[in-house]
Amino acid sequence: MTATRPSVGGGSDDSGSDAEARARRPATAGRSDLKARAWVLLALHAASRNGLSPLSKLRFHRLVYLTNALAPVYSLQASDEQIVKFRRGQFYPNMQWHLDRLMAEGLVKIEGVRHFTDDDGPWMDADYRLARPALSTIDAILELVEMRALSEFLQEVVKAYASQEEDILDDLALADLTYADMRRARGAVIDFSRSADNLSAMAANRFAVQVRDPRMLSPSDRVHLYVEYMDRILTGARRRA
Amino acid sequence: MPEIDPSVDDGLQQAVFVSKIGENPSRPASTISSFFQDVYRFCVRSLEAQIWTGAETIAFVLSEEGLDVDTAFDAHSHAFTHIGRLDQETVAGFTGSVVLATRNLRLAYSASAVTNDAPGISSRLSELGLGSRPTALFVPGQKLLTEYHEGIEQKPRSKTDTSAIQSLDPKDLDGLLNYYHEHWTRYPSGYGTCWDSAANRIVERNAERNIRNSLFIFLEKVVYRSKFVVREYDRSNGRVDIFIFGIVMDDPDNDRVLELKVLRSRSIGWKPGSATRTYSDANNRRYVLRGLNQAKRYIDSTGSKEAFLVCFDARLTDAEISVEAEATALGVSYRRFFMETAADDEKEVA
Repeated sequence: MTATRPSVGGGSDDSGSDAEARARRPATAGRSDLKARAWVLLALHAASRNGLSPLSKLRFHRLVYLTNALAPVYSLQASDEQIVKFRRGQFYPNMQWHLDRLMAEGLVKIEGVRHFTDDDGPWMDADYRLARPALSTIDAILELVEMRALSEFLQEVVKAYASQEEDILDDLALADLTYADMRRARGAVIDFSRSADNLSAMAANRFAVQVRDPRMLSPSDRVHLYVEYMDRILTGARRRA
Repeated sequence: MPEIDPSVDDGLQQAVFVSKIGENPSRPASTISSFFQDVYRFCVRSLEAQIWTGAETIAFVLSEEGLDVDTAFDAHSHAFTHIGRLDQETVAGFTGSVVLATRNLRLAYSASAVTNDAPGISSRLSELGLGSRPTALFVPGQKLLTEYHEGIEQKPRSKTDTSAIQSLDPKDLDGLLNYYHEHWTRYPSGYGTCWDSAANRIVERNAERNIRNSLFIFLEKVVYRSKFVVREYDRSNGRVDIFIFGIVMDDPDNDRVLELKVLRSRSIGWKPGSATRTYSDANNRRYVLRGLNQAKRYIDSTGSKEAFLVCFDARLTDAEISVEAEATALGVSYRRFFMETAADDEKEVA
């Protein structure tokens, strides 16, 4: 788990142990930092390619969550295997930190910054999009086989996500089977490193069990089916409400 | 393992699997072919919704990295109007004959051209700096979609006559084979012609492989547009030329096997003045029987419902080969298609 105490505004207001931990980081990014930033860039790239840009902070974190939950379907490791069930839904302080760093490096643009206070306390929201210089960085990243596989996966998840109706996108990831599992209260940790706890990947793979030859259902099919499934759960719940 | 809630599961697999024309499994999102597939789907939906007056030509151009970072879009943004999502079931009309869109058509902008025909649009694309982008040109009046993978300034990669394709029944394999033969292999002008010397009725050395590939393209890319059509399907007792999973015909438990053969009288080295035939009709009959037995073996190893032995006949004369009894005994459907050496228009005159 990268941080158990998300900072208000996600990186824009570093305080307490997160800030101290980051202050202790070496000036040069380590391998895990670079991998996380590559993940962020490729996710924004996928959003841009699929007409989902700019990506609000809320959608960014929910997409990161979905990609983490569904990574096993593509035999990939999650970018961040643990997440706290936060009062505002999915939020990854570490990924937010990397997003902010990329913005400072001129590879990501931020716009529509909004500070506000609601029932859950003070917060900051904003929209993020790729800056053009990021494209050459992405080209360099995609020279790595491992990153190309990651990019293909992210594009598939983002395409499945982007294909849903606009008014459902913000809440779609809340209908995720693992996240919505009532056995986990707010503040509990979801740990995708334990495959038995990842109901999302299990459900996506479950579709393959239902056909005569599971190989006929590609990982891409499973991702699209699962996202469509979440959509139906959420739409059904809204209809009943 | 979590159980899928049956109340929401209903129809989900259909949505992904059923490979009706125009609605079929998605191509990988990272590929350009996913853009062409989504354009194709939009065109089919728009024809059903009858949003076109019939006189338009529309170019769908890919914004490879997204419109946010698209330099051509940036430079000519004043020329474009946002037209909303084209990736949804409900199709709304729009004006403008150049559509610049993301690969999933979720974000699309249109621009107009001075003349609404292919040359006018082509020159407009060049003006806008889009001439080398992957483009699909759609003519609703002709129900014709042409794909230019390297841009409209290059040769088209493929043409799809959506009206002819719409009239085909994906479940009628006989009808599909007849259509394929008529347009691909019957005449030397066909897309899948395999003559080395049509005048001497000599086919290419790799005629069988070439026909297999073109029939595969026809079935996989044109008819079913599904990855559940496989060529060289590897089995323990050989490789099936073309294997069609039943799921593409809404018949998941009944797969189909296609074994292909090219019959010939003359080999590739034949020269005028030598013996009339290199291969006798008796040789060809033995070859057909071998194909029937192969097809039967593939039925056994794949558990398929049906197998076809499809023979493309390049022999000197269009004469039946009597194998019906053997075919029936083996449970294999035998089809023979004679390949003409005169062009279809010449034939009509004759």
